[in-house]
Amino acid sequence: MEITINVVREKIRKKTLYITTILGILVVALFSTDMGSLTVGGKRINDYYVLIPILINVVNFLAGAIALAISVTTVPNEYERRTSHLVWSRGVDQGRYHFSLAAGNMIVSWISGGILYATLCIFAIVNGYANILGKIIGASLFMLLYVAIICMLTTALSIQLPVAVTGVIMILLFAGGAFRSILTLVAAALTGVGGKVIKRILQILPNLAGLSKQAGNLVQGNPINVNVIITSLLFIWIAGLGVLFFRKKEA
Amino acid sequence: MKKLGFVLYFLVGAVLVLAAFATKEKGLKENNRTELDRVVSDYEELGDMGFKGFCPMNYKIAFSNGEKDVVVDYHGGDYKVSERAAVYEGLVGSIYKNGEEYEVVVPEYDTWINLQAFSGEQLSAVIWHESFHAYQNAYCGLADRVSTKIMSETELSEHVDHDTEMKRLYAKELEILSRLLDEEKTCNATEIALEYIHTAEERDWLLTEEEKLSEALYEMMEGSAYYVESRVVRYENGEAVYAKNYLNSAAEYVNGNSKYYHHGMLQCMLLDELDPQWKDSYAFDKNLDEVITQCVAAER
Repeated sequence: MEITINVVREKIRKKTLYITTILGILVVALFSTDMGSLTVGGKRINDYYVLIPILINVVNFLAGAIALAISVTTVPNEYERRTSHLVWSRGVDQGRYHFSLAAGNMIVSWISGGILYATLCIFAIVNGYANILGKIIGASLFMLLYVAIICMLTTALSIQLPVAVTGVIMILLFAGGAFRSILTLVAAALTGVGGKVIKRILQILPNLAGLSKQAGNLVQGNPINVNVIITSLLFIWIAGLGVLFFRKKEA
Repeated sequence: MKKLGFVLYFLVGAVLVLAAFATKEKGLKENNRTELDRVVSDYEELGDMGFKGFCPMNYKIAFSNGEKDVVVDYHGGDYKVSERAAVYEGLVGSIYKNGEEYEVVVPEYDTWINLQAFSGEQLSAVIWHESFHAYQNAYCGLADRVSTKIMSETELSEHVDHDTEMKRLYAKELEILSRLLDEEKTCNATEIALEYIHTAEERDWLLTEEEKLSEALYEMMEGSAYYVESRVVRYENGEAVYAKNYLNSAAEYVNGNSKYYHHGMLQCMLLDELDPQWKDSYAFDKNLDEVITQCVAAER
């Protein structure tokens, strides 16, 4: 617990967290006011109720990006500063130590995502949609899963791989997961072996787009696909195995 | 204590795996079913639209992901579902002849919804369009009458789109037909038909026999299916969407095969004005220009 709190304290001191969160608030603010508007199929979307699922996608994506940026250096920094050795000397095993670090990453990312969702709520009230506040808060639970997937995967990989390699792999997984719906459409149009391979790859990517879609469904009162939630939890669980069992040689 | 923690962790994993299998949609997915329900409900309101014997649910409908087809057979409110290896690879909206039966093959809703964001065309409309092709072949025997001289849509478009005079006259035909859409109704249908026939005859001199046959077939086959589809979209989404997706661009000449869809739809609309009962005896045995000429002759 103490390790987790230390990670949270340390991350909260970092400027990058604030800059990214403020940028996120600006994006939400921009699309929630007349300053910026989304145009789909040549038609301006002014209805906040229709706009919300799109904003949820944007907010989740930003929260995911923050989670990735926060998580990718946590473990390598701890080992570089030899903080890990102080922890070992107190008899804490590696699995628990790594898990505490991942938990710290997750909590900071959730706080950041929570701030973005709070911005969504404020603009919902400003735009006269106070009646959907409860649904937006409910939708933020999907952000928790979204962010947890990124944090756990990034932390697990960062135990074994150099920062740059973890970063590249995670950017690919993150982009693939976030744009999985579009990639599925492209893959559906492909034929032959290439198409089959891409379809298999897409199946093993985290369904981040699906999570955002379910959050949008919740706000708009559409049915929610429970399977997407369960497979996301399973993804977190598998990444959690990596966090628990991957070992760092320096220790 | 540590062991207990691991045991609990693995138990959670086992529960998640079981739950993932239990909640995975098998057979006909809910959102595909919703599209079929929409087609059934559309049919209750729209009926056969004048095409005797046409009902989209008379044909099996396969939702395909390019690897597997989920085939749905509708019987009096029940869906009988079976699975098979995909008959087409890729993203396909088409018909498939299975033995003596024609079936409709469309992409799954989950895939289509991403395309719909760009095309604006909903899956239920695609099902109507393709099932109309199944009807043309199964009920009216269109496939049996198609000449061997017919060129592929791509081959035909490539040739026609490169001839300036052919393009000019076809664009003129579209412009004449689209006067039907004029809300002020400054021209009557017979005047439009006469001018249209005159322009079409002028253009026919430029075409080879194969090109003439092929264009007439695509206008009849695709144009009438597009006409049916447009009626469904009008009913489901209202006049604004109907006008935006089908009418506003109908008069534009576009390279490729889509101009035959627009042209054929406008021909069907002209026929509705000339003779609202034209579909009663129509069995896709004459091209639409011939039917228009007959209607005009009958009026005179």
